[in-house]
Amino acid sequence: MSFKELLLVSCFVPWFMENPAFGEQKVIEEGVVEFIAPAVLKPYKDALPKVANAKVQSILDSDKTIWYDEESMKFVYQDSVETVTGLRHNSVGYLVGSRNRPPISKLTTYFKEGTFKFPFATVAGTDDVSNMESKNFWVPARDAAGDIIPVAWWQTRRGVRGHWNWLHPVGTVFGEVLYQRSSDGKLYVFEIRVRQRYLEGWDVDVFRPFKNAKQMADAIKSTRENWQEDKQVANLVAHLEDKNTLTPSSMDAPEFKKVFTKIEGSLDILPAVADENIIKGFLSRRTFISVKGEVWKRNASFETYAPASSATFNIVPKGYKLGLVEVNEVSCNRCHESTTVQLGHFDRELQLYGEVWGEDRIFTWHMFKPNPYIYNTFDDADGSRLINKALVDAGLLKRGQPAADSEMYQALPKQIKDKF
Amino acid sequence: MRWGVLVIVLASNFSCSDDRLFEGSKSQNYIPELAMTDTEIIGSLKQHCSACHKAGSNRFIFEDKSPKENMKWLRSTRAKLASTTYAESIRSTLLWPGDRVPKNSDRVDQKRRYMPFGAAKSAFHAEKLRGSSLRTALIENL
Repeated sequence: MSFKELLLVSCFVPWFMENPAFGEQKVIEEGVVEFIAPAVLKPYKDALPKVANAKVQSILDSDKTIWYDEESMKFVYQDSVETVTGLRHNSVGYLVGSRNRPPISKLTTYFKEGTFKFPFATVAGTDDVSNMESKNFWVPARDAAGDIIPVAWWQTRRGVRGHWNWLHPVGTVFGEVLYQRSSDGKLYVFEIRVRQRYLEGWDVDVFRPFKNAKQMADAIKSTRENWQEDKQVANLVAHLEDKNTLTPSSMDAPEFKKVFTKIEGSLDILPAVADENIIKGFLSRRTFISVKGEVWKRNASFETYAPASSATFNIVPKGYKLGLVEVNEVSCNRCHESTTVQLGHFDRELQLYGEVWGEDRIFTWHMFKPNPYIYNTFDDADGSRLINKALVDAGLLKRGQPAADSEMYQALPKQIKDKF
Repeated sequence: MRWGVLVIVLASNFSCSDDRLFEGSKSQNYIPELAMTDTEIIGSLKQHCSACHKAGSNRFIFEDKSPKENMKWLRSTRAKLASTTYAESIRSTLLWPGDRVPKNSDRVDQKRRYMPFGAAKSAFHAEKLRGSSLRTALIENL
């Protein structure tokens, strides 16, 4: 692209749009950075359930756990493909595509308003959920003495161009907590997802109040004496105990078919219950348990791995589709293996593209300083990839590519190998 | 002389070293300490394989079957990714290349990895059954 073309593109983009307020990260102590102000985080932490896993419970209880979200982290992708390189907010691809003619407009094939298209848009299985908020957590690895083992980062090329890489050390934990709001506006956690780095990958687990439909039916019966008297509750129990309630469903991303194979399965769409107290009680008082490898419901034709719902507030909110996805590392890798894959692999004519967001199979985390000028702008300034000083000051980043035989850091194989 | 060579070859094929456990076929000398009941075998498979094999298209653990029924199924059903029974296929994924934890990238063949996959394999490697390697015991009993 010539300078003239670049200038043309830039003119279509609001360089200095008003940016939503977001604060500076604060170093609390070595290894601990505050992304979200305690007062903002408090209602989300207060809503956390107990978890039947000592390590995860200690993470949720710990004041050293680093919490972040889209607002505080600013979810971004890198564009390391010449000639226009830089750091972009996930909303930029669509904005640039929608304001230009072909071939630049082809970006809208891969981006929707605000972010990437499925399966790289949002928290897996929640693309169609409106009643959902999520908070992410990060627990950096520590050695036996309790000292931080930093994220290792390096650049592919000298200067500021090329891809900026990083690897998380063994023992690092990432997680996300999924919340929904009841009709009175109160927050309830309905799922907690955890990824823990080992040398060759990320071990995964997911925690929910019930591992299968029968367990939920039994819980309703045992916690509510007159459950049969409420028609909706009785209907819910009957539905939970009926194996033939599964309906076919699928997840497909034809634009990304090179890396994402269509998932076909089924969902168990639970009926609504007007009396929210049953659901509130389960979500707030039950200890969440691991559902790794569990089947929610199964019959001769189908099986599903999580509940679904027709109600905005239920054991999961309406539109939730993770019932199509088994909880295990191989299953989760179907999307996570594609962090940093160049979008140009999907269409050779694509221009001004970049890489799928994320690095080292984690989508949300990055090491850059959230810069007001990258939000909603096509920032071509190659200096836009600024290292987050708070992470450096907290000892969480270390520059240098680890040795290939490192026992602490290992680059993971990708579905498509890029040359940056 | 040729008969002598044949005798030596046959003898070496039937020798009983521990290494045979990792060469792809069952040991000829049965080790009583490694004997497992159906309940123990299925329990072990549930513990170490269920994350990927209690659900989905590669299922071989069934919650609605008894251990005996599960074992019968494993020994009589042709595996999806191999031309053998599930029991034999599982066994071959446990025949790690040397007595070391295989890498995720190590493969039995084009379709199959050594098992368990992922972080679980280190725990599995350390797991003992009555003082012996659980993996060895499963290889012997499947």
